[in-house]
Amino acid sequence: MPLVDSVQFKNYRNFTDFEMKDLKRVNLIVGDSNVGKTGLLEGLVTLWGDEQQFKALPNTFRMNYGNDITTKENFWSWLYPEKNKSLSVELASHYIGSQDHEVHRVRFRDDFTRYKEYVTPEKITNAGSGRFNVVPAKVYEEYFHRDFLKINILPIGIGDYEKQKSLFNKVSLMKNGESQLIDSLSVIEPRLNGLRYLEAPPSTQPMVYADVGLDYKIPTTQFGHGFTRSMEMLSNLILSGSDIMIADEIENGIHYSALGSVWKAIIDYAVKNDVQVFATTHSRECIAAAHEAMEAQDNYELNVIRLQNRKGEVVAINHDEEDIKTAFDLNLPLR
Amino acid sequence: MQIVKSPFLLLVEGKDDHIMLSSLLSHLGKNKEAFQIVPYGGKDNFKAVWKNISNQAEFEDVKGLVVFRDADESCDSALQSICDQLKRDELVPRDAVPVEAGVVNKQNPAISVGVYIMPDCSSIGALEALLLKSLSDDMQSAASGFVSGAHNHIPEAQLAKYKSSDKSKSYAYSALFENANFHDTFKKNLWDWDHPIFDQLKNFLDEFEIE
Repeated sequence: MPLVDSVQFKNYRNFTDFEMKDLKRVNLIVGDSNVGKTGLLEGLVTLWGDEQQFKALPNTFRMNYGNDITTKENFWSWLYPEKNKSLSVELASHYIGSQDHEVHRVRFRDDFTRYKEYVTPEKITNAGSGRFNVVPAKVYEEYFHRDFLKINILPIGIGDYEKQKSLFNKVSLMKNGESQLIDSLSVIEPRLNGLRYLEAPPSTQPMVYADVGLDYKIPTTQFGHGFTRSMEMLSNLILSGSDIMIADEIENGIHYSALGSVWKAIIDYAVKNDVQVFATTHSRECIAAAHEAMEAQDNYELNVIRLQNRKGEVVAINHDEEDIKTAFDLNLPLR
Repeated sequence: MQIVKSPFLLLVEGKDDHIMLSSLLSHLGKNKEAFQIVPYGGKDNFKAVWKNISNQAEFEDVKGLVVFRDADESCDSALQSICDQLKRDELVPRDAVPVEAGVVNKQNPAISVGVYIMPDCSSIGALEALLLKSLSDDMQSAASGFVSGAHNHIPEAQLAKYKSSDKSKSYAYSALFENANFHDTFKKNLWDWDHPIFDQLKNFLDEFEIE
């Protein structure tokens, strides 16, 4: 089961009173440009991320420029609607699997830096009564019998092989890391028996080589785009041990023909490791690939969430399996 | 991809209804730019298609909405099913949702809404039942006689696929003119739109004051 079943934002950026309900294992966020897709992901990072992830936000999904004062003026202040700091920003999410109505709220202070102290988990012991027990973050684990959520923010785009090698080496050093990666990649390359970091003469640079049952090993650079991108994403996920994966424009840098493989690998990993995915996309092919990969699973757990401006308010519209299938059958818009 | 392109939207079950309505509206001299017909691919798809369309940003500009559906076994059930969906999420104001088939609800100044249940908002059946009634009695008997008479000559292996339906009879009529398919009968104006049987539908459409 997914970990989070709903998210609420109040007075955050252009989300005046916003709610995403009935969240699933994989949540693909779509909508017109500038409707707030990236802002939504930033809200999720603010809500669930650690201090480092929060502080890195100005550069995570956007182009940032200037010193701290410029960044404060041009990024942090915009977390308030129209920079109106008199408003009380409220970000909250509900977790399922708990008998209580568990809420996790975030509030900001003026300097936006001492974030962690202002994460205020709350537990509504009786959802109907509206009474809150406010719990300090430091006793969160004791109170809820679980850790804070760990999130993994997927780097935008593809392509740095040095980074991929480094990720693989780190995964290899983890207990069961390598076998977990190979197991997940086997979904898209069933012949894969193993991966090795080798310097194979006459080549003078070490690379990651794959054993696919042949007499020789093949450098992973010779595999398709879907394989290498999946390897990078999965390595990131395994290393972070995350509960939640967040990706902006997930299709970026992936050829459309490779999207099926990438989604197959992500969904298989997410289902087996109880990871929840939040990703934005502009691509119909990307939605189609995720839909097809999810159809192959025992349970269909894909939700396409369209963000839309309705009379000045951003609203989230869920599209379930039936909606997605009909949209593809009849060539209706989904983005 | 933009699906809602006109302030007057007609949602129809399938391609047959689409072509029939285009032909009728053209016969009535309506400007093609003034309306948009969108097939929803059968009654089972209406829920998903309606959700998609009504949530498009452009839907806010829609001033007239008609949903066509076949009565099949019950006109009341068909109407109820459509109205239940129209009320969902209140993207159409509640007071704009019609309570009767074939009657345009103009109560809400923002949008006029009508539901038309084929063939005539009271009988069971579908579009073809309405079309057949526009033929002369002799022609109806001939088409019906062909379909029922042919039954005795169908090889046993194909008998399970045989259907003596309004659809078969209307296809039998269309075959008389060497059409490639049923759709061609509309393009070739083989249905008499001036027949009184279409008056109820024409009056209903006129209520929307399409240019």
